[in-house]
Amino acid sequence: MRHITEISSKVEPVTFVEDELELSFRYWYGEHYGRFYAELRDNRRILGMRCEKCGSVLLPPRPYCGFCHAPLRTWVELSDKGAVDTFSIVHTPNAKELIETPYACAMIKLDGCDVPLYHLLGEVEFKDILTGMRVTAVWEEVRKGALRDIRYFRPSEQRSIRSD
Amino acid sequence: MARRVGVIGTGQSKYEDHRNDVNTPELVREAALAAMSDAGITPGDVDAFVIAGASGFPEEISFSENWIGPAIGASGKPLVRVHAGTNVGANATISAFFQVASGAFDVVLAASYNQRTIEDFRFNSMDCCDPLWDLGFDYPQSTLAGLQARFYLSRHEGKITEEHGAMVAVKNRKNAVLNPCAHVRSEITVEDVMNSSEVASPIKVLDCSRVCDGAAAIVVADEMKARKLNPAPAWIAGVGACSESRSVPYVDMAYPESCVRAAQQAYQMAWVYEPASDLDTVEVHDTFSFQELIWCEALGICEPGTAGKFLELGGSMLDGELPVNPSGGVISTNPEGASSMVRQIEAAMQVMGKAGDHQVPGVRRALAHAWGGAIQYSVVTVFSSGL
Amino acid sequence: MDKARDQFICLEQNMKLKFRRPTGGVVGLFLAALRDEKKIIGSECRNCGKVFVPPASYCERCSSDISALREVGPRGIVISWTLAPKGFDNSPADAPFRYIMVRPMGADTPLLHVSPDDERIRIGTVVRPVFREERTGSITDIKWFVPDDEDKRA
Repeated sequence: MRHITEISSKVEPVTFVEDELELSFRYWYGEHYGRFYAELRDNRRILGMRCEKCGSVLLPPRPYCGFCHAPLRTWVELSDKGAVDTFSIVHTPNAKELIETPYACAMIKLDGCDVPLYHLLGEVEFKDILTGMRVTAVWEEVRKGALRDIRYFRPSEQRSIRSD
Repeated sequence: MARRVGVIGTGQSKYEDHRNDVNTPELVREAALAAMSDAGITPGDVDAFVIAGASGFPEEISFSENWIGPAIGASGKPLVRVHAGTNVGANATISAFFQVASGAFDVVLAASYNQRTIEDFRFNSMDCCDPLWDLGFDYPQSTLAGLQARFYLSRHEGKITEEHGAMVAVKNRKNAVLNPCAHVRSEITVEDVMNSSEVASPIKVLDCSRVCDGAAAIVVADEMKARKLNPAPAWIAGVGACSESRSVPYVDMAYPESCVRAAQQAYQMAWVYEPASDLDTVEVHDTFSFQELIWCEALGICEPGTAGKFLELGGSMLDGELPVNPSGGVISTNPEGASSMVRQIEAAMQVMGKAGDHQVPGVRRALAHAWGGAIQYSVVTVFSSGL
Repeated sequence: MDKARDQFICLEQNMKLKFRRPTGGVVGLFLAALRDEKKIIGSECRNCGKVFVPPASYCERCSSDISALREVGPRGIVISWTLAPKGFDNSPADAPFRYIMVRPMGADTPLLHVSPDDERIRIGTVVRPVFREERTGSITDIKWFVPDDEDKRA
């Protein structure tokens, strides 16, 4: 105890250690994601996979079915139109300021697909967004093989229909 | 035949927005020593240790167990680290449970913690997504919760309203006032919640928990040691864990299958047939207010779409027929990596009759629930006063 | 362009993280003593008698609370060493250099630090710390450890 007093009376403890870390990651898409993103980038086509066992049409394209775990082999082209399953107006900035806040995001069920896709909503007033609203993809001119090659989904021309 | 396992001691550190007075090992030591003292044992009596932190990024340390272990008496003893999302603390307890049930060890201490060292904690969210799929959006947990809440509201339109979410927050904040361990201990009103600013609609600031730094620890022992050390241990009657697809789109956010299945596993093991009547209290992982309602339905406590009515009628209040989050829940105390273990501690304390001012009278069976990741990973533990 | 190969595109992510970690009082004193007094502080366990460096508020050996801090070293004994032939980002010294485990006199545990790539650095060599002019309260306030007889030989 005496030692602690002796030393601490002379020096002011350092309270924090600070550090910085810069990390670079490279994820390889592999065959399935690779084909999906190549089609998205080069042909503005959204490809999903159909399970021959349970009939589900799935995104993201993977070599197995997320519902029944059967191997998947059949590619299907999906529509770039769909309906809003659920949505949120986000005010919290994200980690890398990739998207300016506030923004609208949604889970969108593309026509013919059984699982919704997370994406952004644009060209719409926040107050006009409804569950069940029909939306269409707006594509980026310059595409690099990522989900954000779709800039966002905007309301379709037709009148929106509520899901209930 | 698996051995019976009982909780013989629990401990929690002091919770603060930032615990800048201690380093991480010291923080975990605070909770671990409290748990050992509660169990009437010293570090020398513990056969093995389990350490749990929610994520590698916020700590900038890959082998946290090597750093923390020596501070809690684990030097020279078996030590494992459990790694998962916000339900990591509950998983640590389950790991300890299996170590004792299997006969490998008699007394095991599990500890979990949260100490944010990263300036921009939002990076945590990217751990949850499929990096090949939606990393480009990098959404925080609250966005996911906003989408989940809207999905739930829309499925049960007319039965569940935004006010029900607010009422959950009000109820749990009120309970927390009675809990000396809770982090946020002040009451709010439904109007306060409804008028608070939007985070990710329909989630508002007061629908969210406030993340804090802190640690929790739990000591489990085999039947013989447990009976010797504690006159009334909380027996771990059932455990269940289930993870769905890691990618969010597969998950039914309003009725997550992982939660349903984790509960089924635990119920089967604990001989719970009618959750609503067989359980005396439950602690669920309400990081966001609406989630309490969703979990109660997925746990089979209420029929889908009826959790709002149950709340309105006072069923989940501290003096209701099945009090939910008597401790104040995660919404009042959210040391992320430790929050799920705190649910177990609170449930165990209810069973042991040691919950103090927020004790529910005559608890024989209590449930602790936890979720993690992208709403797709659930853990359920059932504690019982008898074997 | 090879179409088949092109399908295996990859995603790149960069991030920059800033950390701020509380030291706790005892480690804080250790760092402050390096900075302000060019001293190495260890913690002494009054229960089992071991002296740890860097110090901690608890005994890693017998789990007791630590109540005594004491100055150790600054000279120490090399317990082991290895060569770092090439430099890297934020490398602690210009390559080639050596990583050493050095047990300061009066302490029971070794510290990881660096030394020049000097033939005299062997197991059992007595070394002394060279402190930097500008110190920030970090273990790198000690630039490195050099053989204790360096001055005499120079």
